[in-house]
Amino acid sequence: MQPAPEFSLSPLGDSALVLAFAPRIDPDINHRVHAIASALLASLGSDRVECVPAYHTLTVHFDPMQDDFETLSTLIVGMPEESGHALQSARQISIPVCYDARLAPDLAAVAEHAGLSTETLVHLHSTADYRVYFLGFKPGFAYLGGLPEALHMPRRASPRLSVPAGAVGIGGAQTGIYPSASPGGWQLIGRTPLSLFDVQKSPPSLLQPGDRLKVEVITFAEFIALGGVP
Amino acid sequence: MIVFESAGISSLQDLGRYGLQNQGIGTCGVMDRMAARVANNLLGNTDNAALIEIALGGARLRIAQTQWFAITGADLQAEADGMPVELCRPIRLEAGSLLQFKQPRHGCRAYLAVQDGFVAEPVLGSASTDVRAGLGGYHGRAFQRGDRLAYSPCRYGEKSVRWHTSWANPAFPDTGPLPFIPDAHWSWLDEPRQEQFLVTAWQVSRNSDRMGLRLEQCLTPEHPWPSLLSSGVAFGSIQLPPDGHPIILAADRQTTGGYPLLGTVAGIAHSRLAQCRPGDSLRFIPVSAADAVQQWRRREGHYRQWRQHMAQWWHA
Repeated sequence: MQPAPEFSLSPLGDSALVLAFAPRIDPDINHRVHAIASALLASLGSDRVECVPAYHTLTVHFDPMQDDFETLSTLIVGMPEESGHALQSARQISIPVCYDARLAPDLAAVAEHAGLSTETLVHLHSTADYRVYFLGFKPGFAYLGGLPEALHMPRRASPRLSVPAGAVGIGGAQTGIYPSASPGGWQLIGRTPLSLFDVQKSPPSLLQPGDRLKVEVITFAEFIALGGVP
Repeated sequence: MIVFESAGISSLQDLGRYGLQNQGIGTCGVMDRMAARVANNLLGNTDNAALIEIALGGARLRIAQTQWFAITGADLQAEADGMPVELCRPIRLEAGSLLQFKQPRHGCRAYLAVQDGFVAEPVLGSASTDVRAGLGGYHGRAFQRGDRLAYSPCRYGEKSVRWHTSWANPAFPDTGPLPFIPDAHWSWLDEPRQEQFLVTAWQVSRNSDRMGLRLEQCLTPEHPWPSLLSSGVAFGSIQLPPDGHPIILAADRQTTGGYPLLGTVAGIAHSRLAQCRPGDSLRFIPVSAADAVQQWRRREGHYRQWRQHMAQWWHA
């Protein structure tokens, strides 16, 4: 058996703690984060703790009338590893994305920055295998890993005041989809007609940690036919 | 029903939306939890009943139906039909009264609770307004002129109200430095800069809102800090962005953040954060998480005794 990767525990104020592995975007580390989160929820229940997984950290919010840093730390350290059944099954999700220039205001700039033709850029972006590391920033926003290095590009110098829902963007080493209209600083290279967030659904977010994403390239006409609003 | 003749900066809130931060959904909820819970319990409501949070005044509300109300938190010079309204006690307002919140004398945010709570359809388990996501509360937005909010009919006539003066506005007695629990990144600051953080009287910037309190002065690390991966944050977390102006995160914070954290303000001082106005000055003092929890438990124990007393009074 391989030795388990080490993590540290530190208080985040008096009603939360942070469990942190080595600061890397690493699928194995992230898998452990989610495994510990589900083990903790299974043993204490969602009324007692709220778990917020990120890339390499798990933030655990608790009620200081009931728990504190010391008692929860002891509990976490003593928790059996195998009790965390982690992420349901790794789902494969296909996301239709239209890279038409009418929906991709920064496509040309990203291609130029990468020294690629827009065709090659679209090919690289749409054939990569993406993984959902966690949800954060805003409702239903998935932090994805797997963006090819050639496509890494800094955020825009000044953010747009409004980015439409479904916009596919690149920000540094990350790529993601805006679940709802909002201000945003990412480079926009395409758009999906899919709705990623719906409060009527449970869970409300289409994408969940552990999901694998594949892009299905669609034309502008198909984008419209699927209900997309340019 | 209550009708907003002018709304100022006000929204419908409860204690927040919990259990969904792993879906990227923020907690939102009231800024000053203690003041909001006191307002509700003054009326025999549960802690979590929906109520109105009003920042800085400028709100005019027409009471269309007689009911018991309570106002806590900031002193915004509330008046009913031109007469000053006492804070922190149950008050009965008659149909047709005009309730006005003028401008702050103390603090920033007042809470208006009504007996049995304002009527709100919970979204994802909470009535609180998430303005940025446009969900919950009153149509997912802050109140505007002309909005109408329902509440239930009055159940109690004029009662002689015995209340606890000792509990009046629990947010304000503490004036010392804000206790904070240092984070791992605190040690990234060299000693002179830690000292600078602790001796500075930080000014609250006018760009502060329910997302966070921005501070005017600058704290620049000796060397630029490495960029961090996003991670969970809490109410009171003190971020240090590259521009050096600290931000203390509040109710409408995002679920995760990527800036280094100097620490997190202890729960016992969250009400004071909520009641800060632009221009107020703040100092910080480090405490251990264990001490902070102990102080919190003491205050919370005291509060719960009082709450039981109030519940008995209304429901006896």
